Amino acid sequence: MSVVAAAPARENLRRTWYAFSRNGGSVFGLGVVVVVVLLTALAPWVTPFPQHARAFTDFEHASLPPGGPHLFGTDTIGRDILTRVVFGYRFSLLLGLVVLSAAVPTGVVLGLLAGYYRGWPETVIMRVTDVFLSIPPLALALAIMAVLEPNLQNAMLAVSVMWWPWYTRLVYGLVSSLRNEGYVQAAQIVGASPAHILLREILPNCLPAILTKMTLDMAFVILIGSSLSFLGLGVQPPDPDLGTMVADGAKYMPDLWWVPVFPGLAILVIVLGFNLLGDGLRDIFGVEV
Amino acid sequence: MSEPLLRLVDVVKHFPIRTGFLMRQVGVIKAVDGVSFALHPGETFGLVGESGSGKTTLAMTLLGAYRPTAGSMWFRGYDIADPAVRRGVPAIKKAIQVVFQDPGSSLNPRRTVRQTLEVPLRVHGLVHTSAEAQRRITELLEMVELPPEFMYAFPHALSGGQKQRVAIARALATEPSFVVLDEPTSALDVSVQGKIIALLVDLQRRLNLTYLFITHDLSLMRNVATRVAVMYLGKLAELAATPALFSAPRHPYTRMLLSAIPVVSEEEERLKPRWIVPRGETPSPARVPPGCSFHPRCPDAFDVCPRLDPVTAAVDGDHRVRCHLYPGCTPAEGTDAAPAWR
Amino acid sequence: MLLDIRDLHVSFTGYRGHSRVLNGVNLTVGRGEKVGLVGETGCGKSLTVRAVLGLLQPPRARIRGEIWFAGRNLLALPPGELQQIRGREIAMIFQDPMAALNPVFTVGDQLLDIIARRPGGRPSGRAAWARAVDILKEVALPDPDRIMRAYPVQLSGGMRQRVLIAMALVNEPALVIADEPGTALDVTIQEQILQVMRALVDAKRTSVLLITHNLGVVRQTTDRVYVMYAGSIAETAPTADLFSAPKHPYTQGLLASVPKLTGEGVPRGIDGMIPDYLNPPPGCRFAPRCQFAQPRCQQPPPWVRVGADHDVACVLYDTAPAVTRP
Repeated sequence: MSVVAAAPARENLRRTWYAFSRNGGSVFGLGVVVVVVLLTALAPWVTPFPQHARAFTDFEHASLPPGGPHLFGTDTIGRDILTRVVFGYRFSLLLGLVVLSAAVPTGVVLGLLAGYYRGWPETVIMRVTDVFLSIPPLALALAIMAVLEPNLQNAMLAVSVMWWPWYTRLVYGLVSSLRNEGYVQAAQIVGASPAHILLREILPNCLPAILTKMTLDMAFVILIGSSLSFLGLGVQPPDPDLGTMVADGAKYMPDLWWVPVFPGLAILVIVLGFNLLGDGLRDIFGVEV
Repeated sequence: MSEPLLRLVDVVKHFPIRTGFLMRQVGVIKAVDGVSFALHPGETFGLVGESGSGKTTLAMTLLGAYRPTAGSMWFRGYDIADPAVRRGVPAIKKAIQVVFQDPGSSLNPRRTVRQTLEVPLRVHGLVHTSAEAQRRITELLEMVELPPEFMYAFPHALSGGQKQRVAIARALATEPSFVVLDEPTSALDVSVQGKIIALLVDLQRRLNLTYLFITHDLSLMRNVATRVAVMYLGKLAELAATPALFSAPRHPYTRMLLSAIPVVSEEEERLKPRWIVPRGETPSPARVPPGCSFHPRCPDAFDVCPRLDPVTAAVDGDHRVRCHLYPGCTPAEGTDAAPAWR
Repeated sequence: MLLDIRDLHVSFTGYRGHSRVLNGVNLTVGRGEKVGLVGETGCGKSLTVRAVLGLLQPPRARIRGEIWFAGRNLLALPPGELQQIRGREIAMIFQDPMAALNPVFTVGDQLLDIIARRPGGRPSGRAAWARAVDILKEVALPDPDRIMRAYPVQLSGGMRQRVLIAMALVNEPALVIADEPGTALDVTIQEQILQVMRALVDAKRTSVLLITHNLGVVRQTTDRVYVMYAGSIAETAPTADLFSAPKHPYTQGLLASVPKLTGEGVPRGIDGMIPDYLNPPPGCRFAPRCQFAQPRCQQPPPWVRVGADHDVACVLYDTAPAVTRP
């Protein structure tokens, strides 16, 4: 008889890590994400000038180039850019978290229902989803923000509203094929309830794809959030936000180059991190996302 | 002759073909188109057919996964074609179970063996505590000759034969009397197949099970089934006791099937009909040919075959066939062909 | 000898360690010969094919040995040259036609694409089309012009498999490797496919290496058979001899496991399981499951000639004169 591992779940985890760690890029992405998340969580304690993240002016130390106590330099009203970048990450990650927390459960539930129950629930849900999916995300977000007061909460609302259909589409596709799997039919024949089948048989098999998409989406949401702030529609001053910082600093290029460049690089780094991590997940899970 | 365990009467299952933005119906797939037979307790009833024959759809309809479009299925005095009956009598779901073909997909890859086996036990309230579940699952694993540690394993750690044993254990969890075996060994190597079949035969004897055995492997069928039914495009072509079907096949389709079996010895070559070159391939059940659905491919087709659908008749005691070549199968033209089958 | 695999060893470094899968495979295919490679799941037959086609990636796969094809060692060739051989002189017929055919191109597009890569330059448009239609007729496909314009998804399984055969044979390769052709198909269609393949191959004097686990198919389609177990060849013989007088205990067990039309009951199968390649048994890898196992089986088994072209890797026959296998 074959050797059955003593703790199969842990064994699975180790195998997954082995496959994941084959790819240097994925490990790098994971590292970047972990470091950024930690820094952000501990922002008040790890940044040199946490008070600069709020309303603060110090014209004596304004527009200093990178060096000395200000690793990334200071902006035109004297705030330390490094600190503001780290605090800016907070808003980016918060946006991502909130949007996904709202969009993913909604989208997944609708996808499960549409994929499992054929007939008109499927038609209604999927046609609505199609409508949403046909509009470019940024355009839709802009349209929504045009009627709402520009602030972080409304930005989160706008992005959430147009994010859930992607998950519905993803899960719908998965459920449509999974419902024909032997174990689903076996559960049906035995008489298991639809709730059991959807939640305990089908959903666990959708999780790899959902998790991969969530990871890649974090990158995309952060980008969209930054774009909205860049356009003045998201986080409002004096709260630090990477997009706003880039927008404000852009007019000082190329003299005070550090003012927009570091926030821009920060966006690049976190987006790259999530993308690499998501790619790595996609490779090991073998999903098509 | 004992009372049949299961009696199918003119079971029909059609699927509508829907297309377009609003999913309008444009055609129908006649997966099962009027099947009748009876199963006796303790027997192994073989069902054979190629793709498009409807054998899997028929099995699924029996199991309640599909509701028949027409016809009735009598099991212990209940008509299980009626979903209300199935819902109302939980004993039916417990009594009829299934083992699927592909062990790779019949077990949920994200659930351990224990979790998979617990599902039928919990759904039917056969265990109430975790300890009870543990005990019963250990028993089930023993019945299929697997050590209890296996309950903690995920399917990917098991071999094909082991996975299939787990699938059998799942089928036995509700103490069924009737088990549908849909290609239970087709995905397994031949050296493993024998052991699984031996296990199934042993379980049948010990637990008084009746089997509906579906396979495309006719050599296997020859050794496993007591009676064999041959299906083509949703209808029965022939039904007979196993030795009779193999030594004296009547229907041209049966002969075509038998002649195509790849055998491994000269002795067996002599036992099968000469190779009959099939014309074309099985048409789709969405476009069933008129008259006898086999006529476009039949080497013995003649004038009445494209016009009239034959009915089933007995040719030799219990040997039944549905083909115009045989007396009793051709209804008088112009009259409604009432199936002479019970 | 067209194809001569000598002492092929392939191992992998994976999650749990080092798997020594192929353990000294020796196999030959002569010109115009139809050779079967039979074995069960996990025996390494697909791996052998991948080694021949150059599809194994070092450093994860460690390969030792030689694969001689038409006078060249494939394992020593640079990738560019290997690619020339693949597809032109060695063609492959895959198991699952739907996976091997590109769904977004018509059959004609795909077939013409292959014809364009003939050695000797691409034929003109009209000549190429005619050639494509010809090969489709040779695989007994009705209405070849319609098939040329069809997409794979519009064809039935049997037709797709025949298209695959056509695609493999259109450039008249020296060797065709067929991996379980017809397994996914109904038995009547499978029989048709095999007949078509046999006829075509005989007409063109192409060599065939047929990989399968179905003994009945091998018996009807090949001239010579290799039986593979756990990474090495257990027995090889002309087909008729292998089936009438199998010598290796594994071959005997395998043949005994096949249900017979004579209705003797379901055979018992072979007890035990294939070895763990991470920790394979020393010597003969079948010994743990063999009813004739002896202490000598802990040593690598001798390769013994027991009949005309009939060799076995088993100590039971060691009294016969040994054949030194290079």
